[in-house]
Amino acid sequence: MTLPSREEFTKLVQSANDGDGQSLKQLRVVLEENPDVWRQIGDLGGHAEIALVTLVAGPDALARESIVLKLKELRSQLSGPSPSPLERLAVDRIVTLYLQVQYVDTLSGGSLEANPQRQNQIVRWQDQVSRRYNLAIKSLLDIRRLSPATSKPVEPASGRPELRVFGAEADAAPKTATGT
Amino acid sequence: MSWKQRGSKRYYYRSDGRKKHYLGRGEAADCAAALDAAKRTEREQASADRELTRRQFLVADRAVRSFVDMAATLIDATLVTAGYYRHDRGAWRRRKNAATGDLK
Repeated sequence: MTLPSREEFTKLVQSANDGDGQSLKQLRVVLEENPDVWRQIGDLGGHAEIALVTLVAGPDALARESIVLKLKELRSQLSGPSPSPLERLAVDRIVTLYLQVQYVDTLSGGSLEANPQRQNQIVRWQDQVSRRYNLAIKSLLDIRRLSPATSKPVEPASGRPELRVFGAEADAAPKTATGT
Repeated sequence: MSWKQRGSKRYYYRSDGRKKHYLGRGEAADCAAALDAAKRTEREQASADRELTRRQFLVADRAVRSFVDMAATLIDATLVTAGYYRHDRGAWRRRKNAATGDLK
C-alpha cells in the first residue's frame, strides 16, 4: 500500500483514533509498508530549519554558525542519550519551533517604534508560533510519559503496549540543517 | 503634499489628511517640500521592509507548518497504532482492548 495523500493520512489517523478497527488495520499497513515516511517528514523538517536559519542569520556566516550550533546543543539536550525515532521527530519539531519563536521575538523587539498595525501582526505571529511550540513540548512529554522505557514500571499484567515505530531505522533519522 | 501652479509661480501645500496648509513659495516652501519628500521616502521604505518581512515570514512559516503538521500526524499515527487514543485533543489514554506487546 502506497502512502496516502496528506489529507487522507490525517483522516485515516483520525478515524483510527476514533476507534474504527478497519482504519486502525489500514494505518498499521500504511506505516509498515512505508518506513520512508519518517525520512520524508524529517526532510521537511530540514527544509523548514534551513529556511528559518537563513531568515534569522541573513548573510552573516558567523550568526548562521552560532545558530546551527545552538540548535544542535538544544537537540542534544532534549533528545537524551538514546532517543527513539518518535522522540527524535518530536524533538525536531520543538527545535524548529524554538527557532521560529526566537525569530518572531526578534521581530517584536525591533518593532518598538513601528506602527500599531505592524505590532498587531507580530503579536498575532507570536501567539500562533507560541501555541505550536507549547503543543510540541507537550507532545514530547506525552511520548515520554507513555513510553515504557521512561515511564514508571508497570505490572506485566497491565500490558502497556510498546511505542515501537514501524520500520523506522536508525539511518532514517530526520535530516536537519545541523546535520544531525 | 503638492505644488500648485498659478500663473508663473508655484505654491506649496501640505496636507494632513483633513485639510491643506498653505506654505507659500520660495526657499521655505522648497525646504518643506524636500522634508516631506524625505519623510515619504522613509515611509515607503519602511512599508517595503514590512512587506518583505511579512513575505519572508510566510514562506518560512509555510515550510515550518508543513513539517510540524505532518510530524504531529505521524506521532499521532504511531500512538494510535500502539493502542492509545485521545478524545478531543485531550490526554492520550490506553485503549482498553488494545493489542499489547510487540506491534510488529
